[in-house]
Amino acid sequence: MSQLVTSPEVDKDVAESVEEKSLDSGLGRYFSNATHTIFDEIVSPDINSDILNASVSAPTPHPVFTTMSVTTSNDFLNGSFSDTERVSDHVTASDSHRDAWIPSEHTRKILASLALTPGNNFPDRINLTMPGLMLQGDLPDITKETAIHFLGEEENIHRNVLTASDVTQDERGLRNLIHAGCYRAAVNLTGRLIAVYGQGYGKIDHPSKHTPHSLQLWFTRLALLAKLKQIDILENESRPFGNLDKPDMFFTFYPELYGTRPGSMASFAFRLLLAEIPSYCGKSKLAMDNLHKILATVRQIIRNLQMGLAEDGGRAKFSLAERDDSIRLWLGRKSRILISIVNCALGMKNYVLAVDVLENLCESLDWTPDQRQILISAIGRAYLFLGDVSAAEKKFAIGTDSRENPTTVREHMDNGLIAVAQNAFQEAYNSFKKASAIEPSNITVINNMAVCLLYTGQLKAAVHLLENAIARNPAKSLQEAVLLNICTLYELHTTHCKQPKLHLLRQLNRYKGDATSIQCLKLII
Amino acid sequence: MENKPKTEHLLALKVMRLTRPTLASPVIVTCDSSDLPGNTLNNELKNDCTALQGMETLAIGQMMLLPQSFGNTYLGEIFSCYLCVHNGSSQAVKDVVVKADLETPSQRIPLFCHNEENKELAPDSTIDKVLHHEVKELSAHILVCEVSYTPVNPTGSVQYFRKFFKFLVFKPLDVKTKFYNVESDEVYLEAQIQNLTAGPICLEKVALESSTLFTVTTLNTNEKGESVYGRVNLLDAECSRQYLYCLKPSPTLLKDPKMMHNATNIGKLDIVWRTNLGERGRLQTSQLQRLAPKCGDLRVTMKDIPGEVYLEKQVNFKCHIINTSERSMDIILGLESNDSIAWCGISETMIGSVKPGASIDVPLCLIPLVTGLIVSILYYQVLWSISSTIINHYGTPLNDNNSLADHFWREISGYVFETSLRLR
Repeated sequence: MSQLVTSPEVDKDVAESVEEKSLDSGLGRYFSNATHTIFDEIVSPDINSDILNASVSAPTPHPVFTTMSVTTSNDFLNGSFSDTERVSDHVTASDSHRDAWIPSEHTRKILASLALTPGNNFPDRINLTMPGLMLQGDLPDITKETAIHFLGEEENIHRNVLTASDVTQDERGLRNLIHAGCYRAAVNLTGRLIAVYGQGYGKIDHPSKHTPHSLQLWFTRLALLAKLKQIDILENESRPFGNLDKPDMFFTFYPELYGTRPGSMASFAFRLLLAEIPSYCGKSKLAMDNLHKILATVRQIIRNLQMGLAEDGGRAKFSLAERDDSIRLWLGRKSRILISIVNCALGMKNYVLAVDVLENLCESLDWTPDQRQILISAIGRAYLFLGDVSAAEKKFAIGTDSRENPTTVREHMDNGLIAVAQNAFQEAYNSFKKASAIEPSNITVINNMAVCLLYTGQLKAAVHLLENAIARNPAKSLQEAVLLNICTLYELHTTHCKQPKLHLLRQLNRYKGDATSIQCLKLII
Repeated sequence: MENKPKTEHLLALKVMRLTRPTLASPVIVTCDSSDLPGNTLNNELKNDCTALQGMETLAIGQMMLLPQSFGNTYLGEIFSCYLCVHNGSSQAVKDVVVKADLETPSQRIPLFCHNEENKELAPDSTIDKVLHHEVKELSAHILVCEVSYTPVNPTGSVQYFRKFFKFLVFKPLDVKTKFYNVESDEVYLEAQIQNLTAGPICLEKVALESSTLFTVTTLNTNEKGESVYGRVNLLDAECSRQYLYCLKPSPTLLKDPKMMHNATNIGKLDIVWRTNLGERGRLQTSQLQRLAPKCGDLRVTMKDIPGEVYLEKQVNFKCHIINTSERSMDIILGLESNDSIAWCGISETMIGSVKPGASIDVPLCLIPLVTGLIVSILYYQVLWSISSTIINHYGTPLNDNNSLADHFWREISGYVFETSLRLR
């Protein structure tokens, strides 16, 4: 089953995504790279360098997957489906490892029977993935609407954010919107693009054809809906995908397009997101089951590779070095799933499980000393969530010989949170202040100082601290958590809290995209 | 919860309950660079102030979020709130008096009184106070806040308003205790603690503070000193946990059976629990009373019984008999063999006279005939020296190793005393 049409060289057409092409897309580069997953990418210590200069048009020299070819190019509009189809003819080796998946027995049988009699036996509807948009029309820009409602139409001239129509109607446009924090506009653009695939509004439960590109559009849309906490739409639109195990989610379902190319058409990130979605909808137990199911499959893939087989258990047709790279890739994915399990457990207040998995993760991987320290301190905070202050203190003390004389922001933060747990808010304030001296622009630290000021009876000072931080850097500081805190302070401070809130709204309107949940201002409409 | 003042006042009073802050986390969605969003989602996550810097996929951030709801209040917690009186007007006021009292079901407790006569409160100035109160009563509490002031103008007269904040106090824990008096005069206390709160709690301390007559050993750790409740000290909502304590009587108490009998005050359980970010509560039980075993006139225990004995080998031990009556007594001891054991020795012997409060050790010997847990019988008769009445005693089976079952001499009638041994 695992015949693979691979060409060792990277197809330049495939890799021609605008964003990624600045890098050498040679396979060797990808595989020689030690970092191999998004998980590692996120924890890589040198992230700061590319946070700010990361813009969509100027690609970040990111170690992970950047050099891998993108299966679909951004020529969705100027090209046609044939472009997408052409992509399929040139499958790179890295694609096959990245897309590998083990279908369920049921799906495997259907795919096998299709391979024997190609063309004419179309499977039952029950074996098809039939998604469709549940949202008719566009998500409105709530920030803009609220600003107009409270501040008048004239305020709108200050609003200068992208909408779905302001960008190219393709994946580059999508990336531009996401980068600008215009998630709602991005969701709207995904809607337009998905409609082209015959999966628009009202098309749920209607058979349609999938491509890697259409599934990427869906992934992007659902990811953004999750970010926006549009729970109802998210739940309903994600439902038809199930756990991505229907036969039409695999390349072999379309032999005329992909030949015998193995693997899943949907990306791993999509699979993970779908598994997690129930936890955003208050169904954490279901999410936990889903995550464990994909964890089991990933473990099987790693076992297969370690036994010298291909990911799906077929005969391996790649070199040992390639195999080792694939094992690294899948071990990284395993860690990412475990982190998701921890997050899900925390959401369920199952701290026992969360701490257990974290402890194992901490022991089992080759972390850099800094990453390990971040992880250990995170376990300490998990103990603080559940109230075990002494266990948290022990964790914070591990590896830091300077517990009494902390030097890093993290150590000061840890000390500050321990002090909070001991109801010593003044001491906590002092710790956060020291952290702030090291990183003056760190809004999290300033926010924590403000919280301590409130608990020590200095409401006004707390308000000033946050207001100054926002004034210094509105674009960075106007985040939901900060807004929620400052509006809570305003409400406590005065019955006349509408004016300062409207000032925040004015700034949101000027500086931020459409992704901010406006409820955090607690304005009464 | 908040009653709005009916007329527009120059001052406004706001109260916010201060439970511990929570730590915020973002919605974590990541993808590979080869996915459509490229690095955009990941970069957004890195810029999120609630994300954990350096490991953004993990939902354990460091950003504190102020409490967004009043939450539940439990007995034993410290109730804290922020009281803010704000002059939102454009004119100064003077003689501001702010009082905060807490009305509990049984009393009215003054928490705060601010009284600054002749001092002005300028526009946009505030009077701030963080109030703390240890909650010691259940059910309805009312925080009564009163404000009076005088506007600084020629016609200003004293203004007054008050606000009520009502909240309910719930029971956080259910504590059930059981006592076991064992033969060696040790007392075992089993305390079952159930978490009645809405979420998981960490039982930071569950200690038995005993009276001076006993020394306490806590039996909740294993040989390595680790907690028997697992690596993470957590008790989920609705769940229960059993704590076990062994109380050894002090030597003075051991010598005096009567005093031992009267030592019914065991001590108090001191319980400290914590929840989110160290939110703390503490409860102490009232003095725990054990039901002292009734000794009757005579107390019989077995001493020096080996834990394991072997088939058809002699087992030597002692029968310890204490006269707990007010009178002197003569005792006859009888031995009755059966299918499972055979006694070695002479039955129906007069073992002598025992003075009030005194004891006697009678060496005995038996041979087990079958394996397993067996019951052997010995009976004894007491001949009261004065009345010469014969009173017989019997007890229930005695397990090996002095286990916790109730024993003996509950009744002053009957005639057999049973004991049992584990055989190998």
